[in-house]
Amino acid sequence: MFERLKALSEELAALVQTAGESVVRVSARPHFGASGIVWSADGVIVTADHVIEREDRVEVGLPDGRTVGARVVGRDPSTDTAVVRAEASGLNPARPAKLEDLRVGHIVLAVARPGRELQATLGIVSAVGGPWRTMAGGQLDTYLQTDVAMHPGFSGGALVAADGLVIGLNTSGLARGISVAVPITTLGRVVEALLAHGRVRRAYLGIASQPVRLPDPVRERVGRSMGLVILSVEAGSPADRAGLTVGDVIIAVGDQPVSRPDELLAQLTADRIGRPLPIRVLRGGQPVEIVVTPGERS
Amino acid sequence: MAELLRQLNTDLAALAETARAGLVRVGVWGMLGVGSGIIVHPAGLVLTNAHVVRAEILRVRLADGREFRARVLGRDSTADLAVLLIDATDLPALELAPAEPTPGSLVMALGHPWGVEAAASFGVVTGTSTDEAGREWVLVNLRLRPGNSGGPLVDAAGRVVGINTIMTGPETGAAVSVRSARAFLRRVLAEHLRPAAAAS
Repeated sequence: MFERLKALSEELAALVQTAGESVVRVSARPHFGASGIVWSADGVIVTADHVIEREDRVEVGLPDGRTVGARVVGRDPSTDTAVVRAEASGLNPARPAKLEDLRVGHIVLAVARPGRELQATLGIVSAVGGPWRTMAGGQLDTYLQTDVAMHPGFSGGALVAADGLVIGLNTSGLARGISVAVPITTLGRVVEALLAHGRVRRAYLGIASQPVRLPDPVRERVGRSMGLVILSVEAGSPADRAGLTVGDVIIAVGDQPVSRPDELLAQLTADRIGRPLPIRVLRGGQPVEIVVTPGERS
Repeated sequence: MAELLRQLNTDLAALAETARAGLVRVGVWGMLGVGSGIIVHPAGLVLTNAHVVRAEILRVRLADGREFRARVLGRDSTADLAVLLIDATDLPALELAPAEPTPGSLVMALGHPWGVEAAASFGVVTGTSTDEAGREWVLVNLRLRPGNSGGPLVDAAGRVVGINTIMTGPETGAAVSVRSARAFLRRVLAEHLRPAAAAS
């Protein structure tokens, strides 16, 4: 009776146990534990940034039951990702999945270790799409939303596909009320940056801006309805040195049109640091090109 | 592809049907109760939550509609378990699972949420935990509502892995673990069998 259901249930439970070999507990805040994913056998653990409330006395609970000390290597609040290094070796690194194969409706499991014991919830992929910018200005390579329930301590845990491979890091810190995961591709990039620099490098202009509707004649000429009006320019900043001023309306950065702050942020990647970047603005209704050399955000 | 889903649906419906046969409704005599219970022995043993049992004489309604007066055989408020006896035989008892379920296992909860007759909710075992009082819980990701209390949480093989007891959130709940239930049943039955053995 119910042979297929039994087989499915057994496979799910086995999947949790296997994936759980690469899921650890990360204790870096009072009261609540959180989870982490083993990135390398020598102790690199990736977790959610928002669960790290204290950087001293970070502890990692391993799948074999041992608790070891750990130190914070680097944090990237923009993608809610952090890397800690546990004083351990011989760990089981998570096996990454290929996201190209992922489709809406696929079964996924959230595997977490809020305390000593492994926990899991089941769901499906609700949405999978192109790049997505987080509220904090971080870039996720793939928008990955699921309906897995996130219980306390599930943040930092693994989002696991039906083949047991890890497709992302679960966190409740990226969106309110829905489960948005940091995709494994983004994790790779962020972890590499955090291990190398302790942070994710970002280019910096030194302005504050907000979207503004362009006047009709200008709209027709540039083929866009919105731009970004500069509200303030930090003294001595790259923008200030290049001559950008309050009231300039940015319509393009490099060859990319921008009309929202997140579109501007998306252009300020690490490779822009120290390299001349043409910025197209409207000044007194006329398009002007100003070359800025972005600095590095500290 | 859709074939497998159809087959799983067939299995789910069959699982619900099996579990429903062992599900009873528990209430105080003379009142329509909304508590649930589980037939754990063909000779009339019904397992439920202690908090569902609010009188010494209760009314139990079987899935086939028959109603019986039930006597409280044993009750443990700390464990939140009670076992009732009804005067019936050849009942469709549900089997108790030999061990606690592992995280990720599929489970179905049967009961009478808000009085809705024999409703099923399907989900997954999140984990197991032991609280300060030493009670063992099976944590589940499915919907439990008032009226689910005392009903069976069954695994994919139709075996009881827990007694649905509390909702802990909109989509989460906790069931008294089958291990606690088995220990409780053993204790109660030992008490009742001892005098009989002495008399023989």
